[in-house]
Amino acid sequence: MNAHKIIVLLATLLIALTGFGQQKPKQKTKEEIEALRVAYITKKLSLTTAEAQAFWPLYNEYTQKREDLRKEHKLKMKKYKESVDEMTDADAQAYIEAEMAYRQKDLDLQKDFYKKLKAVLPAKKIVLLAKAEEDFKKLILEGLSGDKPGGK
Amino acid sequence: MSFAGISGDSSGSGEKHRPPRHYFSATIYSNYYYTPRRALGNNKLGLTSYQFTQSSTGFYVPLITRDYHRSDSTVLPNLSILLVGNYQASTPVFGGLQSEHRLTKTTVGFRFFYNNGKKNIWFVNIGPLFTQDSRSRFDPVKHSTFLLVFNRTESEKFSWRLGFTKTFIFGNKFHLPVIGLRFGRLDGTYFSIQFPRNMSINFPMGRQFSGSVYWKPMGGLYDFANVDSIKTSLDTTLLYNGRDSIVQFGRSEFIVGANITWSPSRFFSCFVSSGLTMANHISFASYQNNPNKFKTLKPFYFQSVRSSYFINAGITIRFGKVKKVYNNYTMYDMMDLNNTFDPGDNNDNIGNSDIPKPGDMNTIRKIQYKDVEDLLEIEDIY
Repeated sequence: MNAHKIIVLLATLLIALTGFGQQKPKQKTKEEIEALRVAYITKKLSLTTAEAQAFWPLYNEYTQKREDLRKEHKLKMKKYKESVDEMTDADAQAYIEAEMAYRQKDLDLQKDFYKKLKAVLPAKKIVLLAKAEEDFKKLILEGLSGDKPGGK
Repeated sequence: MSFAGISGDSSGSGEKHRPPRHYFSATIYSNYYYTPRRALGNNKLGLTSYQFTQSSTGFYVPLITRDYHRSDSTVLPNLSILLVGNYQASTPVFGGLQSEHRLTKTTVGFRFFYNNGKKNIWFVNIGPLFTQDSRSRFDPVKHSTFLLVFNRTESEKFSWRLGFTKTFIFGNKFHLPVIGLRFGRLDGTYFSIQFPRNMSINFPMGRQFSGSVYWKPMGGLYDFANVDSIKTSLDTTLLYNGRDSIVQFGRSEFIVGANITWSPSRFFSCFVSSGLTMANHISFASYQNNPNKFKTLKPFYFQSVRSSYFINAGITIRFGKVKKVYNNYTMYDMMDLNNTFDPGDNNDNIGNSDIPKPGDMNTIRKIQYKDVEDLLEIEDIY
């Protein structure tokens, strides 16, 4: 291996490490939290192989759609948040309607998801899923309040 | 009632949110393979030694992704079409030849994945290979490879594959069946046999590292300019004393090695591996004497080469957001198919670092409010 090739290889590696090796911390933590939520639900639901094979694609699709809806909504509402005190009545009305529309869409997604879930999971596991999602949020909130889960 | 917009992320750019469209990231990868110089035994060409190095750079770009599910269905079939390409530069150095030959192989092609949304995946890869030798100005010679694989994911811990491939990785033209078995989770520890590509045991080593012990063939068939004069005890001749201006150089070895991959994020991974090469051989075959494009070549020269160590290192960089596939075992197999069968028919190591890693509870201890504000509603606090 000649010196030229080694230098090219090391330079490429270095550029790649500095440029692409580190995600934005926030993005990375979000992905880890997402993975953590999936691991938590996996543990709580004790899905059979057949159930898991049908459930996870549906769950991924559902959470992806909710996330996209939420992000889109936040971008849409951004224009209001910096001037709440100066809002006109018309702006406030538009704001409330957009908020309601978002919530209706979110509810529709949830309804659609639970309708599909009924076909692949017993009712008890659907309730367990809802509980697992709530419990996971509590875990996160406990983590934020300094009462770290899992001990120190 | 709460107004999520008011309590929203003030760092938002105001641009329209663009949800991810594909299951695969646009990916580039590059790797380098090195074997040292070895003496050759007595041979009719008078070659005294052999060394081989190669570097390979390739890419995948998702072009089309279609989800075919109906709103009232619980099955989510999907189709992915990828544009793929690879450029490989190989340098076999022979003691006894006047010049160094730099053999290049370029491919651009398409691959198609169809996942029926349950357990089955169909995978097709098509694309011509163009080979050339820098030592001569002949036009690139076109060859073709082909791959068809059916994958069935029986469970998260077991899948099998059957298919057919035309490949050059054994240093010759072969039409072979594809037979694959995997035991264990792709995001955990698993054992995999994927004939004719590899056999490996793979295991995670913490959150960012993974390791494997593997066996696989490395090789290829290249066009080689017939321009060197060789001095034998009787005469001075060309490498091949026929009418061919180009001959076909084949090389093959089986490598047994250990690999460590570092994946600090979904967007980047690099690996280094080393081990031993075994059953090495090189060959030269004439085009004139092998006119049938579909038949395995009969070489005019075939030489076994001593075993040696090898070093293989590389990087993979992925771009962009992708759709979520957590615990979707069939999709994990789709990604593994994409990574096992590299576009250049080089048996390059690309790695499965695009398969999401399982969650680690310790992460909760590091969470800050800004990390999760998007995930929480104000009602969650009550």
